[in-house]
Amino acid sequence: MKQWLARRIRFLKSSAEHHGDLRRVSVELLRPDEGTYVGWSESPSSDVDLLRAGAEAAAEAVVNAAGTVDAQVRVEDIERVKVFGRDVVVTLVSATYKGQTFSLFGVCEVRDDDATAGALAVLSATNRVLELS
Amino acid sequence: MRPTVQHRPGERVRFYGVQRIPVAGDKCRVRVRLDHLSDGSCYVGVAEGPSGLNHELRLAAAATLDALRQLVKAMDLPVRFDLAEVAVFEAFGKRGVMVSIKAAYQNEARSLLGFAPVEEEAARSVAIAVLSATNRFFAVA
Repeated sequence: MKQWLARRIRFLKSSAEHHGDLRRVSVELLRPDEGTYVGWSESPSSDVDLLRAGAEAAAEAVVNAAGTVDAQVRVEDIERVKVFGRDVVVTLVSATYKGQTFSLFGVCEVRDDDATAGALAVLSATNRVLELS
Repeated sequence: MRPTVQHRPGERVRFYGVQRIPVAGDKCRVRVRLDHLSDGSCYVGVAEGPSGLNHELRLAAAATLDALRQLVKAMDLPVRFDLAEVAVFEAFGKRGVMVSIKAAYQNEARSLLGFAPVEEEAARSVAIAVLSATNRFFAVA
């Protein structure tokens, strides 16, 4: 695979599974030479919002990958918009790192499934503040 | 120009300010200054074109990219940026600006998206959106 730019963290995959009345979405991230980090999100199957579920699972995975006890990432809002004739996810994330809290926006074009788009939007928001990309 | 003051982890390039200058013939010139924190250098990008909100938003994006191109050249980074589109839209009940940039790096092309909420100074929001789109190259703010 051709290298674009080196990343300290890389999105591997998202998956969604039913567990009874719940739908569990997981997001897996890779830090080269360090291993994989997984985050989960659960919501009632009848009320599942895969964009948000993917984003929340990614937020948990990012915190795990950050490898520090004082990192927190929370998905404040997430929305699908139509811009430039494309489906784009915009998310507002609050991230706490090294004692400071930032409000961050992330974007991602919806190319695959909604959970993946939500997850990539969170990574887009957090990549600089958490120094992960 | 109005300076920004907040420094964030990982930040190497900081937006300093944007300036709009009316030019004869119902045109305007937009200047955007970026500061390179690593060595204290600054880069001023300029774009000129017709007046009017939509034109000026695009000029702000073009001026930001002009500054980034100077920075890229100084860093000897083999990347090329071209402005594709600028659009204002609603997100989270507020206005936001989205920019689409075509980036070419090591013979591979990518489309980069950047977003920023529209604040009092829309041109500033556009500049921030451009930096958001390109932040993997510069860790910009």
